[in-house]
Amino acid sequence: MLKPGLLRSLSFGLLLAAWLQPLAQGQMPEYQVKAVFLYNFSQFVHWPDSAFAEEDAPFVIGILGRDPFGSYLRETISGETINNHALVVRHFQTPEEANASQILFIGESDKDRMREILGKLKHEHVLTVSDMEGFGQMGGTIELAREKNKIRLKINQEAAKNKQMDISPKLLRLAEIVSTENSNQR
Amino acid sequence: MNQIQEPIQHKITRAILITSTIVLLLTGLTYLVFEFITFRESTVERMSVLGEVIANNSTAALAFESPEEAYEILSALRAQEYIVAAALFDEHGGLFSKFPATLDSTFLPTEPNKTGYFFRDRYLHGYQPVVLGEKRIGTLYLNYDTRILSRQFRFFGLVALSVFIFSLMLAYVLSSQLQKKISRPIVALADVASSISRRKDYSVRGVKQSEDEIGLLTDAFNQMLAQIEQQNLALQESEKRFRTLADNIAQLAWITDKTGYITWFNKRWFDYTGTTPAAMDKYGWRNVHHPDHKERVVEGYKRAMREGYIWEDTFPLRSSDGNYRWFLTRAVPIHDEQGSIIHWFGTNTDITELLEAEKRLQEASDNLTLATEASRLGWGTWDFRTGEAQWDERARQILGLSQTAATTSDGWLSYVHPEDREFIRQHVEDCIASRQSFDMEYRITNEHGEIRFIHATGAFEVAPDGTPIKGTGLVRDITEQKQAEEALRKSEEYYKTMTDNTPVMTWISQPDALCTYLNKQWYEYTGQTPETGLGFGWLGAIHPDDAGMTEKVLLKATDEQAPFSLEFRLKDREGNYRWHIDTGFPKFDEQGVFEGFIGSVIDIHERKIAEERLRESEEFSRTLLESSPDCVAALDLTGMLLSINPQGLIMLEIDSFEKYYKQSWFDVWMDEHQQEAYKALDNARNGKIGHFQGVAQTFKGASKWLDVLIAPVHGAGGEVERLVAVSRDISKLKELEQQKDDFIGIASHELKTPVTSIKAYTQVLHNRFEQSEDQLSADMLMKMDTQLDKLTKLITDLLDVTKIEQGRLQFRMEEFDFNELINDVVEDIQRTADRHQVVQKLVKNPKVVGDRDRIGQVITNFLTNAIKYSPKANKVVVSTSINSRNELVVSVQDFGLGLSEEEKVKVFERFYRVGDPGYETYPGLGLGLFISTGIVHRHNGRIWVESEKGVGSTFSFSLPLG
Repeated sequence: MLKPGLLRSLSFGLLLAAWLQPLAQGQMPEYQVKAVFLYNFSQFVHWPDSAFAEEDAPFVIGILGRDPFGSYLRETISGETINNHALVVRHFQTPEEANASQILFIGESDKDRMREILGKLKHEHVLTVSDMEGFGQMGGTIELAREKNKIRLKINQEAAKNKQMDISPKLLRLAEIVSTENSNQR
Repeated sequence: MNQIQEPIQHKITRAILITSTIVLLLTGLTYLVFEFITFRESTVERMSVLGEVIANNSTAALAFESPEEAYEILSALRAQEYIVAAALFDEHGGLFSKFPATLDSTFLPTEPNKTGYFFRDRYLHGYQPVVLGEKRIGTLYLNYDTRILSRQFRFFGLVALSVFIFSLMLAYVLSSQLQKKISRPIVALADVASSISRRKDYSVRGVKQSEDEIGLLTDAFNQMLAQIEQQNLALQESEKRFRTLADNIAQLAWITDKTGYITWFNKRWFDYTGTTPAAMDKYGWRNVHHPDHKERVVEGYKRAMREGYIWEDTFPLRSSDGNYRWFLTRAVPIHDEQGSIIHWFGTNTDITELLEAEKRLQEASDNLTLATEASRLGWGTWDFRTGEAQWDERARQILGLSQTAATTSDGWLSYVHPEDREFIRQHVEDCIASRQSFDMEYRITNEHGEIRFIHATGAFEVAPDGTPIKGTGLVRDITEQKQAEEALRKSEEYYKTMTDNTPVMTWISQPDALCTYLNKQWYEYTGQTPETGLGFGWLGAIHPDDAGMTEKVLLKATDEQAPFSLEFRLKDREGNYRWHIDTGFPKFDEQGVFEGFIGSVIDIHERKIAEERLRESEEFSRTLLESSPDCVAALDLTGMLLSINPQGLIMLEIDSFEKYYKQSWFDVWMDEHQQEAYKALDNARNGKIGHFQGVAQTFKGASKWLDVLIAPVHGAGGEVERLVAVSRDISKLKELEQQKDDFIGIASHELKTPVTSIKAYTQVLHNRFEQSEDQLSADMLMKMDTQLDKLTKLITDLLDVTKIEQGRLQFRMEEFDFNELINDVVEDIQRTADRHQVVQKLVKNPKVVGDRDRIGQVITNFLTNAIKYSPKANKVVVSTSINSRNELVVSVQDFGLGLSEEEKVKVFERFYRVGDPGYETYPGLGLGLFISTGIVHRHNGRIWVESEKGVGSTFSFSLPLG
């Protein structure tokens, strides 16, 4: 039989291990978290049927401009499907090309022509996502804003309505709702 | 009467209360048990619904890592007081959010990645997966404290208890009011019943209060009371009647209680004994008993009372005047319905007069009983005028009469067999009319239904006017005697039936030889009738040639009183005669007096005819044997003489065979032929025909050549039973043969000398012609010389044959080299044989002892034959070998004509020449192989040939070595 002292130190070790684990995960690289978010959006947003060219067309997560995800996004969606649509990642250079995606991440590299891009995609069934500050107010659908050590969602519901997309209230509850600001500011 | 222990009102109330209590308890318990069983299920169900809702709401919080939102959602559980802990874990099992916030983390599971709801201790642990799309992104953990349940149950229990108590109180109040409707009339009825039983007043009646079953009960009760009242009256009446009766009967009577205590005596008892009821109390009745009997009576009485059987005794009782009179006493137990004794009823009957009469009667009849007892006769007498009868005990037994039947004169008649009644009546009438005594036999059927035979004798007393007055008779059972007679009669009848139905004819004669009986078969066979057959008439059916003899034999046998047997021809009804055998045995009675014959006649025709034929056949054979010119002798298997035919007796010069019966047949033969005789006999013994020729010495010393055939005689079973030797005298033939041989011997010997001279002169002449160069003459002489050689050879052969036949062939035995001999012979042969090559295949250095020239003669013979008979071949082979018997085997093989099977045997015989096509062109006397055989045999060798027709022959002989 074990001595009480030994037993106590043993259980303490176990507790420590259990506490350290989530901490390690909490320090996941930023773009790994964002890749998961991109994928998760597909679960909380409803696209109209016309968003897909064909019934078995893939669900495209597009990246416009520079790709900040590295391999994280591919790892995240590898082998996943959404409502029988296989998930794929595609890279686009122009908003016209990006029209073929269901979720479109617009990197900081396109910061300057953001308004133009958003303007072109305003009525398309493309969920626009970006971590550029002020993206939501600019007319982007979801902005991944940084708040302390965490990512905070900002959702422009008006932009979503323009694209005929429904965003789940569950998601809305988590997010800060923003609206499009006057574009003439600049 | 039993006190009422518990009033009926209480019983009814209690019944209702018990019923209500049980129903309430059962209902409550069932519900509780059901609740308890379904609680877990319903709890899990409730919790899983809740879990699913919260898990569903938590998806976004988990997906987008918002613990604040998650806590918000979990906080909704605040309203559920039984949820003591809740937590969300991410997909890796890391704690994401918990509620309440102050909850100690040790309270939460360390491995939350489970699914389902589990009871542990008093908590229900729920693990609800949080699924996004098809992916599990985390787990909701819920902890439910089941202690809340016990609180619920406690409350339920309180409510149930109060309902229970209230219901019972209500039930009590209601039942105590309602039961009165039922119990009141019953109580009233019970009161009436109890008052009746107390006062024995059956006139009281119950009051009917309602028209239900209780009303009916009251009516029935009242009716019953009326009946009891009536019966009570009847009983009192009956008892009064009984007492009057009992007081006035002739017997003394009394009644006891169940213990045997006498509770009542009738008036006659008191009158007779002159006692009072008071004096009879406490077993006072003992005082009226005679001192000599009292002890026995009391003993018997007590035992009867104790054991419960009917008591009977005869004893004296004292009367009021002090005298004792005899009473037959009988006490009978009286049982109640259950079979136990409640009273004894006893009577005492005065039998003093009866006893005295009986005594007198006994004395009178004793004498007669004694007389009849001794003779086993039954005695009876009957009065024709009164119709009364009297039979003694034995007669009643014999006739099987019942008491009543024995008292009337006609009583016994009903036991008599119906067929005999008329005859008895007739006989009795006749006897009465003639005033003679009667004597008759008749059958009666006794009580067992068995028929017995009775012999009755006796006489009648008849009035002068002829009317019968009285009859007296004796009866005797004669059944056994009758049965014996019947058995005898039946056995005689049986015998007669049997003989009448056997195929054998039988007859019986008297001591004077007259026939008194012939059975049915005789009459049927002969067609005679008893009128024509009995006496001596039966002789008429016998063949006239046999009749005289038959009569003579029968008379003689009768005279001598001895058994006889004879055969005769008996005529059947168609007139054909068949042979029969008649056998008679004398018959004597028990005293040994001759009573005649009893005999049987049996058909033996077939047998007789067969015998006749056999006799004829034997006679034929005998005639044949006797007339045969040969000696025919019968021998047993060991060769002993059994018989010889007359010709044989002459041949062997036997005067009287009797001397030679069972003498050995072998003694007949000369020593040198005995061996052959044994061999021939052996053959015959084994079922073959033995044959040999030999010289027999007649019993008078003369010698005779006989040719003998011995044949087996088979018995009925197929085995050889005896032998027949048929010998023919061939002495004459042998003599002639001898003369011929002698002649040839002498002739050839005589021829040899001149031929040798001629040969010598021929050679001289040949030389002279050659010298004078007369070549033609020389050539002619050369041919002549060749012919002379042939002649010389012929003469030599004939001489050899003669010598062999006479056993006079001389040998010069020496050891020599066999191969050298063969070389010499082959060289000689090769000189004259230009076509054939003699091939030699020889073993090395065989040394043989024998006559070199004679053996050379054999080889020459083999080789010349081989060359002569294979004209188309170009070689013959001579070979030697040594066989397993250490014999030298010499073979000469040719490739010529060959021999048939038949010829192979004959070729070694004297003067035999193969007569087949192809052989006729070869000259010769056929003596060569015969001579060779003689030579080889004299060397103790064997000679044989193997051959196939058209292929060639191999002639071989063997010589023993060393």
